[in-house]
Amino acid sequence: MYMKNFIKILYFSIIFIFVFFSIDSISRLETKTNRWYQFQQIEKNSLDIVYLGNSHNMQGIIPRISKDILGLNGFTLGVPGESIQTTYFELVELFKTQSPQYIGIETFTLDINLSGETGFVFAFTDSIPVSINSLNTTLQSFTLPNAYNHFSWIRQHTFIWKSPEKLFDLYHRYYNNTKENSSELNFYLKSDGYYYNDLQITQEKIDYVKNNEKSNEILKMDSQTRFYLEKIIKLCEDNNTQLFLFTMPVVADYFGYEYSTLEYKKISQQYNLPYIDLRDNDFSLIHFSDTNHLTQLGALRATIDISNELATLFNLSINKDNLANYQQLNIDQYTIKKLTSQSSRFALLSDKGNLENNSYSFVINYGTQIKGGHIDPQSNAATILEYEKPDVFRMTILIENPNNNYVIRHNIYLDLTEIER
Amino acid sequence: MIFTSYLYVGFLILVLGVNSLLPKKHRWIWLLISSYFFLYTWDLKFCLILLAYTVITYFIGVLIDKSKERKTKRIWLNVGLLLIIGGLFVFKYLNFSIESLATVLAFAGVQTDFNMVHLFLPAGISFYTFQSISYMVDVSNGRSKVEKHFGKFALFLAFFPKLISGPIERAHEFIPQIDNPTPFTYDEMIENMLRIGWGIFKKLVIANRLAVMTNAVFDSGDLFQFSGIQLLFIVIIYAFQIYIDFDAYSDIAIGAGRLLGFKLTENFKRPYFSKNIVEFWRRWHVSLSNWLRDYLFIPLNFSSRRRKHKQLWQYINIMIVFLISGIWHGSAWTFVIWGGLHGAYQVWEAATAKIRKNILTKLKIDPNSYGHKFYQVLITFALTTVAWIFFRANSIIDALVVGKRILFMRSLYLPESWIFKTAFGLDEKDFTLALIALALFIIVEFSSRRINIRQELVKQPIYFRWPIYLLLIFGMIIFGYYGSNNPADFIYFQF
Repeated sequence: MYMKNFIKILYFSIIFIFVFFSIDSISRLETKTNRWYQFQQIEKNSLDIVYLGNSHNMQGIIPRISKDILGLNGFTLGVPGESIQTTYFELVELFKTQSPQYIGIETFTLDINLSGETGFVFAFTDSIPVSINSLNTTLQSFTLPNAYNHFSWIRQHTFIWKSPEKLFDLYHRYYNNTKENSSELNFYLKSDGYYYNDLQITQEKIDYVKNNEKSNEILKMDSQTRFYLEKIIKLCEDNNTQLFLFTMPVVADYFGYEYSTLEYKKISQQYNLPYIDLRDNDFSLIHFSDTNHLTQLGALRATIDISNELATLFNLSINKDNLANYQQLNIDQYTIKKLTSQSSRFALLSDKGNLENNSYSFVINYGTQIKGGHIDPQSNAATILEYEKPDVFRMTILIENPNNNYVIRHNIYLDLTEIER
Repeated sequence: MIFTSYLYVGFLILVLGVNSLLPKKHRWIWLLISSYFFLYTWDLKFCLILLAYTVITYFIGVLIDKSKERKTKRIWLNVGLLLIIGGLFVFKYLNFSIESLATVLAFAGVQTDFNMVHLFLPAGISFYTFQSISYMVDVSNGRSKVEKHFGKFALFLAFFPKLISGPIERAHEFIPQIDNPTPFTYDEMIENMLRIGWGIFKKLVIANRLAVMTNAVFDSGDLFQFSGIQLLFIVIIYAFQIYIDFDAYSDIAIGAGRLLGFKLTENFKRPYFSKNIVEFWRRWHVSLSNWLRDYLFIPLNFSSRRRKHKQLWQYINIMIVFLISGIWHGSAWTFVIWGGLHGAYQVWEAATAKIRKNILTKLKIDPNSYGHKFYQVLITFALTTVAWIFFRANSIIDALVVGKRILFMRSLYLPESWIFKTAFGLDEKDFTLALIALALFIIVEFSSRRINIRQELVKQPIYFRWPIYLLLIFGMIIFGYYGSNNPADFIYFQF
């Protein structure tokens, strides 16, 4: 009798585990479209440079552009909110298939100690084959209260039952994530790990953050962070890879960065690591999607800057034509002007007047009452639009330079209520 | 550690596993350690308070037992009651008393500047206070033997399945089970696991969703934005929410207790099928009702047995018991009114019993007819629901606003967008699921009047019951309302 009941429980457990992992594997289709999955599709030993870190660099470095400028085949990798521990495990995984000459680590990883916290580490562990390394990563970040995070479908349970149709979409994305089956724009935005962020920060948001969310968190280089950084340095040395640190731009004063910049410099000097601080540069409002992430315009600028810095640091040659084309592509400021006092027509103008180098097209977002949009060379305006009712509209400008065939998608909020007044 | 967390599930599996491997005579050590660890996950301070209660109650029990004279026993009992109830008063009612006193003085024109005391409310204190009181009273009147083993006595107060929200157990029923745990068969094991699973399902899938809706209204800060019909709907939803929430907790507690070899008191017996308020209190929070009956109502009635107007005193005693029941639930006047309403209902029922019976006879209404029973159930549900308004409202004013807008509702119009798009913080899909799950719960409740569904399910063939088990487990995970959106802990945890 005892044995019979034991066998029953065993059978039930087997069925339960089978159903459990079947559902889990379906929901993991989503993570199989992420950059770690894409990374594994790359030809072995084909990368020259990898920008490793968190959302700061994944939304801030465009490897395709750095390749055009420096001639280095690159990829930007990491998970959101990445800790230095996770960076180490990612490097172990990276060296299994690639042997890049250069690896850059974004310094925000030094600020985060995720020991005992799951963070977004599952975005990495979900996407790589099961191995000792993936097990180590899971164990490093495992806590009992957050254990469910390691099961994709429990993490996304609401999404699964509320939008089962999206599973089909995931299936489609998973099996069609190739250049032939994906729109060209989507493909090149994603294929080298760069994540396109379509948000645009506003001055109100910056003011709000400065007044309400200013944090005293500053870099605290604890023993565990130091331990993993040293392991990373050793790992790169063993693989003959030049390691460097870099810091992505953030809105000024966010998270006590002035202080931490000095700390990053100290760390890089202490370990004799080259250091690139992109925050030294003059980034403006249109370059940020929020307080610490860049828009595509910001990413373009950051990539140009880091490419220049890398060229200086490692004596790399620069393709000056490509560099010039990308610099032209980068519009700095724009203003919106109403053309006549009577009509509802207005124009979008670049302050520097360099619009003529590029071609522009405009996507008026759904729900707006703006009628059409076109380029008007006579008034040197990028577009002239008509609207029926003053409101705040969102518009996407597609900026393209014919010489390098690269498209920048920049979202702007048109506050026509202000213009009307 | 919340009962519906993955952490608790893991903890329970570990405790059950180790407990089953240990010899019976040593299990109390493991259960005591587990219980204190369970409380420690909430706060270390809570463990220290419980330990203090345990030490006081234990030694008062021993002193009462050693006292030979009745007068000495009484003195020790009073000392014990003073300490235990005093502790509860300090932690739970001190600020309430200061506030109430300040309000009364303000009415009298005396301006005060009392400072509130910043104290924490130890988890489960209301429940183990009542268990301590019943133990000391039972030892003093000989109903219960004194427990000389400190560890086993400590387990009586700390046993984790019942620690935070009951059931309120009696020492003479619980302590003997420590040495002689009730064995269970394989079918009973499955049945109790099902009970735990059904409890978690009820909490995660139904009660948590209903909580989003009721919180969206009662905590909105502006009850005037809701129409009478909307408030009526929400008040009914709250009646189900509080029942399902507490019943879910009790299912998990009793199921876990049974798997550890303990039979805990059944706390709910389908209370919303009660035909009057007296019956409601025999079916609602049974362990509390029994406690109030045995340790408050009977002694009060006994002490007033020789007074004039015996019937009137009985009504007064009912009111006292229910007012205390109200204040036990929470340190706010809304709870006092809730208790007072239930007391008043019972007094009304007792005072008009003969009149109502005569009316039925004269109108030739069969009191056992289905229609009449249905009418009684409906009236009882309506009365308890009215009282729940005070139980849930953040203030008496809020409760009166809700009551007034329901009573004087001008239209039965339900905006289409309100029902089918978003309703009180839930989107269309969550709202629909909440109503479907509620309907499922009512069907199960209705069916349970005659059959024990869990026992019946266990008897079914494997191809029938296994898919149901799997559906229940996966239903919990997929349809559960938890994680960062978790709207509420178990309601009774706050008491």
